[in-house]
Amino acid sequence: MIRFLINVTLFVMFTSLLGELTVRVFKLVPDIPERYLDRHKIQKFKQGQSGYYTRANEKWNVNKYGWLGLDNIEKGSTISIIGDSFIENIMNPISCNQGSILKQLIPDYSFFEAGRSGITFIEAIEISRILDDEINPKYQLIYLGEGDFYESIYEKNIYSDRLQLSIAEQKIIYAKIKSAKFKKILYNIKLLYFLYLKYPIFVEKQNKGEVLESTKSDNIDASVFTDLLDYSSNNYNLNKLIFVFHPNTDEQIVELVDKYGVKTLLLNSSNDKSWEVSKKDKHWSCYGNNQAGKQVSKALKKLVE
Amino acid sequence: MIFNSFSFSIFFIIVFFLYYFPLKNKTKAQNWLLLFASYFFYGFADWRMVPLLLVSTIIFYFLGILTQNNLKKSSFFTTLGVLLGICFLLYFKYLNFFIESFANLFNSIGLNVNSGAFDIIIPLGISFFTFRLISYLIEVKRGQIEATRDFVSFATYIAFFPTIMSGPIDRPNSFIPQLQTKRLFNYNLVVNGCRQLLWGLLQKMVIADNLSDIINSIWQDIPNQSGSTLLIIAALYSIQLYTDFSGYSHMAIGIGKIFGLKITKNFNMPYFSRNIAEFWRNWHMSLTSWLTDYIFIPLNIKFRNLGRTGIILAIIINMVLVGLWHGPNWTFVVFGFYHGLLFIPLIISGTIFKKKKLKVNRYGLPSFFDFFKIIGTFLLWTISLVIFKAETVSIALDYLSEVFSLSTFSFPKFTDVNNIIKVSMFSMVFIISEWLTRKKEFVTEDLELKLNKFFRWSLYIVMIFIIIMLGGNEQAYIYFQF
Repeated sequence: MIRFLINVTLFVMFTSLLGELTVRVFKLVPDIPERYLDRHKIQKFKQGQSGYYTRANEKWNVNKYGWLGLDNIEKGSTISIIGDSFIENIMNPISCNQGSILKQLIPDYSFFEAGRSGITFIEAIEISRILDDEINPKYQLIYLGEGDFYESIYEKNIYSDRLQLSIAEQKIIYAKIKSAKFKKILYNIKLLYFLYLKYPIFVEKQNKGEVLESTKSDNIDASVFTDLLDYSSNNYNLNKLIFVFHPNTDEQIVELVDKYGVKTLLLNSSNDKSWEVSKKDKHWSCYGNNQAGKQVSKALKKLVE
Repeated sequence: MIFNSFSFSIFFIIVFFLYYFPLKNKTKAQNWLLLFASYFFYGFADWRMVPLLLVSTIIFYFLGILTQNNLKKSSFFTTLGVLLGICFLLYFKYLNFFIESFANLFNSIGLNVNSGAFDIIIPLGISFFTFRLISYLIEVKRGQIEATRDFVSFATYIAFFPTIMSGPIDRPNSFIPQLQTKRLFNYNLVVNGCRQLLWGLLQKMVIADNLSDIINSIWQDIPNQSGSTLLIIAALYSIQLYTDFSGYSHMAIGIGKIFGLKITKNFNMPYFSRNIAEFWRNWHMSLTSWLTDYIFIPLNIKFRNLGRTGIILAIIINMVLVGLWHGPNWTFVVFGFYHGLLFIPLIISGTIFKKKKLKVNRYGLPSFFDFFKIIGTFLLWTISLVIFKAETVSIALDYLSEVFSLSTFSFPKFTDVNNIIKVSMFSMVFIISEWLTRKKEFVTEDLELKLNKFFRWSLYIVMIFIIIMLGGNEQAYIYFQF
């Protein structure tokens, strides 16, 4: 029995070491940047971090503002880009970020990106307010999917790691950094993280956000949108904002937002090849980002003119 | 809680340590632990099914004692038990099927009958544990075993967690005595069990699960597929079903060995069979031997005056029951009947019971004639699996009519070519491995006789890496539904 246990222990240790080495050498899991809460209680990435996404050749880097994307600021000609993981775009090289693509298409402007997975609609609005004070952009592009609205409302679903709005109390509920120590261990032991991703124990929880983001509901809950837009128009300056809606967003939502006087753009990916990274990863590939960027630049050019 | 899940790993480790540490040398306590673990495992899937299992176990336990103690009434108690078992199956598994079939029959002759289906939960593994219960009672009646007075052993035999969901269907005379003898930690047996468990995991997660997505996507779009595509998918489904079920059986047997218990073998390289009779001797062996002993042989004796016709009749009834055992669907009836028909040439030629050893030439390959027969048997089986997998007979016929059309000579088309190449490669490697080790219980058996520790460990590591890196999306075991 003792012999068996010793053998099993040695075998598990040896296999784990080899597995860890394999996962690291072949970059089978993404490096995930560590987060913190800044003075505005917004989750940002700790500055100075860098790493690779799965099988990526190019490193991601956290800039001095605590975001992963471009941080070019020029007085009077900066456009900020706010959004969730589609803007964070950790899965693609930085040249495929919306900021980089738009810079190529509209060279007269500089772009500042504030993207992080899990950003809700209300958090995007809150970030736009902070950026307005800090870098005073000329326009602020906010990339949105339907799920970002539903996830914003505390009464609908509680996501303690996301900034939400309590409609009942008309109050922002700030996010908390959840299980920071556990995540640190998980992200640092790459084999463990690989197994966690491959055989998720909490599948539903893990994918909930993505599912909401990527699915188009047949019937929209109009109260969600009106509640959020009422609150936003009463408490924030929406003049500089341009809402860029993901393809397949219900047109009713866009029409509803139009009524509040916010500029909108609904992206269109129909009659085009897939924008997605893969069947399993619904984020935009470089191709998808380019296509989105072209449509946004057209709309922006009209606006600038 | 399936074997290849995180929750099962935790459950298994806890049971293992309790079994071999605090309960070491305490046979009764070990049995209690196995019984408790088995009920926990079964209840974990759906606790509502536990009372049926417990009540039926208690009833059959007492019926066993009554059968042995009342010689005059032993036939009555056995018949009562068998009928009770059949009633369990009929009620939980087949009631809605019969109601629906009768309603359809009446409707087809112009009598309008409304078939209201009952809302019945089908207990997981009911076909497996009911067959064990019936088997026990018949064996007691036949005097092949003594009715046990040890309820814990008996209940553990019925509910033993590695086998309750999908077998193998152990016989009481081989399993219950093992529970009544002392079980000490046997290093070689445990290591062998671990190896078999690993081989089962590899079959299930790398081959069956990877095949599942491709096969299901084609099956959802049959009208738009060519005969060649459907033929390849049908052949791959044969591999999927085999690796899924034999993978499960290997895991179950491996886990049994780890607890010092030998479980009945369920497969013996069936895809190298040269005729359908040989195939059924090697496929789902615990079920076929059960049906042979309790259905075919009694029927054969009953029909002995009819000569070959009697054998044909017995075989067809037996095979229809094999089909119907899988579930309440006409596809399974047709599947069984089709196999019954395949036996007829063997009965007429008198080769049905002949067992000829498969000989290989100096290159380790079978003769051309044997190879042709192996391929033929595989194709006959593959065709039957189209009926087996289809939801209705008409879907199966649509599928097969496309396979037997001219489009079978066109080039097959797949949306994900890389994936199909990948799974075909896995399947080929698997079949070759099985061929090379066909005399063994499983591919990695007896490794210590051939490889030193370094190579053995290297092989295990490679297998684990293949499972982790190349394993498909987790899929339910196909035989869980039966």
